[in-house]
Amino acid sequence: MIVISIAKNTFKECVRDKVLYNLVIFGVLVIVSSLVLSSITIGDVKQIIVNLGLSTLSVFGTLIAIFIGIQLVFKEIDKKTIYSLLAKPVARHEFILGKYFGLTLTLLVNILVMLSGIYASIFYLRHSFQVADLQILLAGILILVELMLVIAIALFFSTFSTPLFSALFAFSLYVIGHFNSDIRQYGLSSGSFAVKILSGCLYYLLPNFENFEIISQTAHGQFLTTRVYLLSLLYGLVYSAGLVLLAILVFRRRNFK
Amino acid sequence: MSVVVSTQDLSKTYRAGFWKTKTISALDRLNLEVRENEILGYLGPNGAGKSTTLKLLMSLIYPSSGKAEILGQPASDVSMRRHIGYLPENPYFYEYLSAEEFLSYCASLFDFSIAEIRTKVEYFLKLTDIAYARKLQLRKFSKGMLQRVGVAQALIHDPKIVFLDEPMSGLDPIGRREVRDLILLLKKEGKTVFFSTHILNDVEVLCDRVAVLNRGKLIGSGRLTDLISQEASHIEIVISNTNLETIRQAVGPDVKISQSGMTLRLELKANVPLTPLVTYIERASGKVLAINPIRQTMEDYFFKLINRDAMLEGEPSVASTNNP
Amino acid sequence: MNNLFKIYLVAVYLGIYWIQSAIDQKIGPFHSTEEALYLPSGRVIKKLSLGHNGLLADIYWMRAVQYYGGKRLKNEKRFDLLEPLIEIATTLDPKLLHAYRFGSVFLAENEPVGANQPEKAIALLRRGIEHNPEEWQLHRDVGFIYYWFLHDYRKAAEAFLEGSKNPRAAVWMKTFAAELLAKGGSRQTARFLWQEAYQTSENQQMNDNAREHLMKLAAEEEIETLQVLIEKVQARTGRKISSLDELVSLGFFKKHPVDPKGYGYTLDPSTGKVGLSPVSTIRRY
Repeated sequence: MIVISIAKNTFKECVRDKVLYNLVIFGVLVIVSSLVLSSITIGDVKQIIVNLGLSTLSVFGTLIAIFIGIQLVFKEIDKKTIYSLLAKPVARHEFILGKYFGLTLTLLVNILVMLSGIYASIFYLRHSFQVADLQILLAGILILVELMLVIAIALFFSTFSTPLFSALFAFSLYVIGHFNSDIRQYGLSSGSFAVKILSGCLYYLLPNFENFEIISQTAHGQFLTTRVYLLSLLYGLVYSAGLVLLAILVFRRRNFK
Repeated sequence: MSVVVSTQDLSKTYRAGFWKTKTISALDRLNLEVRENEILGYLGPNGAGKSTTLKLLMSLIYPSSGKAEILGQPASDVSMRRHIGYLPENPYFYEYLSAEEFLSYCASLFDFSIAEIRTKVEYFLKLTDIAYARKLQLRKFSKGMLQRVGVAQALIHDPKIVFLDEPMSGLDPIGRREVRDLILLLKKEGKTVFFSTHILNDVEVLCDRVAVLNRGKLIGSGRLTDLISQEASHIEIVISNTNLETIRQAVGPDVKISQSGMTLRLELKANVPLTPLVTYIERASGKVLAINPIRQTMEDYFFKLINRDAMLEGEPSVASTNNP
Repeated sequence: MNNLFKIYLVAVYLGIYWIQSAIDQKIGPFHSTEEALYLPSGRVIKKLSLGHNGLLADIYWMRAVQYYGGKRLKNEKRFDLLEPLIEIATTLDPKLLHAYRFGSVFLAENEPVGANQPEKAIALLRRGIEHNPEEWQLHRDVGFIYYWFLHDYRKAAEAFLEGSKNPRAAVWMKTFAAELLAKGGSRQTARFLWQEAYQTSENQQMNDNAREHLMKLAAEEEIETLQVLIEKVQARTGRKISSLDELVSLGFFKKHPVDPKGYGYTLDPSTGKVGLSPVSTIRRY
């Protein structure tokens, strides 16, 4: 299928862009920390490794998602490689989907390698695994869905904006998305009706990244209920789909000077 | 001969200026047809709207009004593109891919099996003579090599119609000859070729029909043989070893004589008998270097159209080197 | 020309080293931790952490541990930043158990081992209990501090009793609470608690701490025994004992009595009191 072809090509581009080199930094971090941590701090080192590992995974992943995501469409237009591509029987929506899934695949590989690193560190420390350690994998999957949402945001802006503004908008949305409940809280405690309505709308409209905040829970071996976990996954996937659709709509109308 | 490409009042305007209030007309009501298995040369000065036309046909940009059809489908139809190939002007391709990878990628966007893709990539690598660089990343390719890759990707799926935007631009004479031969080969294979250029000489050699664009408007079109006379209207004689006055005495004041170094160049009407003149020249110890027929060239036709258009717009006319 | 640039480069890096040292001299090495005093509450940091509060909590706890260790190395007595750092760490991650447990030890212990702030330790533990009601060991820690550092046996008993309600709690807590209420504090109960702490400590530092306390208790008991023995001997023989070696020659001991760390006990002839050798490393605090 064409989408798969484009996705594979996008993946290849990311790999050749040396994106996956971030794994090297990650590897160093995790290995060093698991060797050194027990002498620097007191307490459960495994918990620290999970925190460090998942947080690094999330931060690196978000940076990659934004910085590569905003280039996905822009680079093809800027370098005019898109001319020969769209003259072939490639529908515009297939192009967008292919780019999206290509970057998602890159981050999936990234996450799998990083999760292996975390598990290896834990094994080095404990020489055994517990059933609760499975939660780390589940957390990784949720972070992947979170990153898919970030990619969708970056991709959407990339269809019509320059990299600088796309990055600014994407970052802003990402940060604001962690304060959704505060916005809603502000509305609930406000006296003004207009403010209540506005904050309510914003709460549902802005991407709510608080749904994906599970790192410290996972580190303590306490996890979400199955229901909330599945709903959070669903939220991320549905919201991403919406943004990708928006991107497709914008992209279909574009003129490529 | 069926019509494979047609436009109806195809127009494209842009909004410019700080507040986007000015409108610029890039293409104004283009009505153009391309017949099956013909080579159409699309001419015009820089900025005339040739690339705009091609991009409209490729549905890379959308018309402000009017329609374009290819093989009976609207230009925006995706499946129709299975049968057309496009070489953009100054092509850029994915820098990080090798030539082989890039062509495989292009081929994978059509319904070919993996084996078929491999065969086709092999064939076109050889045909465009870049097989030696197949594993080299495209970022390291020279302009000429990139052009060949561009040709390969435009043809790899055996399209019925091939659109080439300034295919000779930036090529050395060898490259240009190769492109010319390729276009002729495509015609022999039954394909239709639409190529835009501003090099008039290429058009003369290749095209069946010609369309001339200026400032967004089609100012002339027709069969090449109709536009350029086959018969010579004048004859050019190149002489050396004699002086201007001697010759002037023989031919009279109405004949155009130009001098460059030791050679003189005469332009005579085609019906003037040559033998007495040649005898006269030899008697005066001169040497006849060449006798050439002068036909109206593409350049003549082109500038005639441009100047007529300029006159209509009230602008100064442009001189060509052939005509006074 | 290249060599000139390389020299400049070396100069720049030397300069960076020198400037940073100068800054550190002025501000002090605990620069990053001292900002803890000026940071907004842990709640704000938590919000700003964008979901990475767990990692930040670990970092602040690590800083608390390093701060504590650094102060101990220099034998300094004040641990002003300890409580704010632990507070931030536990606000960022209210489930950071080891911060509550070890942090309370650092806070409660007497100088120079700790900050000598047992009330703050109790407050910390109470916050921990609020967020981790199922962790019975926090109650045990509360009880311990009330008993050992605040000598409030009633409150200690209450805490042990509260903790014993958890079905996973150690069995001794309930009976121990009853005994405390009945008899108050004694060396026996003290030794029991420290023995329990020593056996259940998950960390070398805590282990050593408990062992130090146990050795001190053992030394105190031995000193008491020696004192009683001396008084008995003096009463029986009517002679004043002026040195412990006399007890050896009298046949009570084979060698000069030594404390659990191997240093000899001393007898002060003027006061008649048995005590630790001045060079003994047994804790006196």
